[in-house]
Amino acid sequence: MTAHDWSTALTRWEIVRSRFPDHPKGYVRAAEAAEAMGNSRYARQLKLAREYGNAWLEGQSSNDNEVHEAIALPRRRTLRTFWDLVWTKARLNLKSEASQNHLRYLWWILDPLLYMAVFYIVFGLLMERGGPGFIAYLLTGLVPFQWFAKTVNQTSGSILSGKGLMNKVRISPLFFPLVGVVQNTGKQALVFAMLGVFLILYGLPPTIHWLGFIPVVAVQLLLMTVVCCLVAMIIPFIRDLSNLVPTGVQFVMFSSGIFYTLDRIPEKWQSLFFANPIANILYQYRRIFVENQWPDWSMLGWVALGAVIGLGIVLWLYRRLESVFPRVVLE
Amino acid sequence: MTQKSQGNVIISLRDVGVRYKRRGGLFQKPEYFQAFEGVSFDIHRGETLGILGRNGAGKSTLLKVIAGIIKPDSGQVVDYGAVASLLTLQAGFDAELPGTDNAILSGMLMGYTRRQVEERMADIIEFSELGDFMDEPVKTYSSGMKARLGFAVSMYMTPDVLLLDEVLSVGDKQFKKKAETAMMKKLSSDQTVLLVTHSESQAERVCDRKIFL
Repeated sequence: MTAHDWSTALTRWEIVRSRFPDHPKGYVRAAEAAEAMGNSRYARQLKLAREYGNAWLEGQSSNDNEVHEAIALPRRRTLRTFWDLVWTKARLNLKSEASQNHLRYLWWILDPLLYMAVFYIVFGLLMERGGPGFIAYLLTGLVPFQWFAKTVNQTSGSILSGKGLMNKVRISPLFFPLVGVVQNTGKQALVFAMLGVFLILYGLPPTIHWLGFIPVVAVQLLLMTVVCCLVAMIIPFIRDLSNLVPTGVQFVMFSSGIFYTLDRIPEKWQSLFFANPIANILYQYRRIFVENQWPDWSMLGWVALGAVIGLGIVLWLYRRLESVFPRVVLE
Repeated sequence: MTQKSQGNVIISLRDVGVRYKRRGGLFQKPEYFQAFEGVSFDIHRGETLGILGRNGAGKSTLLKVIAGIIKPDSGQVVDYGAVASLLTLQAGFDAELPGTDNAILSGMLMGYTRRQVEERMADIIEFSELGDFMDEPVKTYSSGMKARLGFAVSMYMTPDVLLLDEVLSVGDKQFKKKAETAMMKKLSSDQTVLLVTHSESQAERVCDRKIFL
């Protein structure tokens, strides 16, 4: 038979199929014809159509079917889409977290409120420690520190727990710690607002110096981002370190002057004390809220500079290790 | 790596090999396990390419390499401007969140922009047949409903090169047929598909070309 006859056969079997869609011959014989013409792809489609029906086959030839239309996948996420993803995930995590409790979002206020109340009762009322104004001093240090501590503790294992996702989709491992940072920062906004209310009720009304809060928070956020990303990055390689994270955070807590005032530290050790960037930042919060002064810009500047350099290094390392993480987390 | 397109080839693998660390670490000499090596082939635009291999031949690892999730230890993967990604069901689902949020999150994790997912939302809802349930938390779904949502998202968010680990069919009996039909439609369309399977008859049925690993 010539090629022409095969194509006639195809057309005829097509008519058969439209009249008797359940009749196997319409598919099998047409497939044979297509095969003989060298169109094995069409032949295969015809054979499959026997299983999935004639309508399926018709849908195949018309390109208007929306199901198999590919959408251009961006080659690599732009900074904007990456940020949008981090933001969306953090927002949804908060929503998900809140929906698990009966009191929902109220917990974001209740939790720090209870926490602050405990310290107020123990240190302010029972022990009457540190003299007047100690509670304000304590809380202005403790509240920002808790932000740091919670974020580091929460994000330290984030890359490890993202191993399932990391092996399914192409995603920068930076995503995992960043979501934790954004998520905790969202909650912290409320806690800071409550600290403000407390200070006003306590008899420390706002002054113009409170504006200094903005750069101090910004530097703390930057520093936290660097620390969290660094810790989360190292732990997949040396998992033993995850046992040290809570202890490390405790150590920072006791060495940052939350429960004691600066004058307790001998003069010669003060520069060492301030080498701890968290101690430095907490000192700035105290200057603003307790002493009503502007932050010490040069001290803050050094922390900011260090954090920016650290961020550069961390980003570079993440770039280099991006395709290593999906393997390391599975080991 | 991106180079100028050579004819129809959109991704080409040259002498690719991957090995995994079996044990070892800081204080121990590492021991490796070679998943595969010396794998070379081209993927042409529009074809359905079947990769066959027994269990543990490194089929899934190979897909990860092509998707750019991991880098090969030897050889290279050259892509000519095409982006390949694995078909994943229910990527990043959070049971506490409603179906719509999960669909958006899942699509965004696969690499799409929020806008691209939102544009497809109506199709996703229709295909998954979930209706009003889209606004309910996923934890209230039956496993069949969850599978339907996952499948619908993956079905509508398809990259240039689709990497498939076995032909998927999910959900209850009725949806299974629908899912399989849609899947088959994709396989025999102009979509470039790389199908990994251990079933030779499956490959015979749907693939233009077969490669044994």
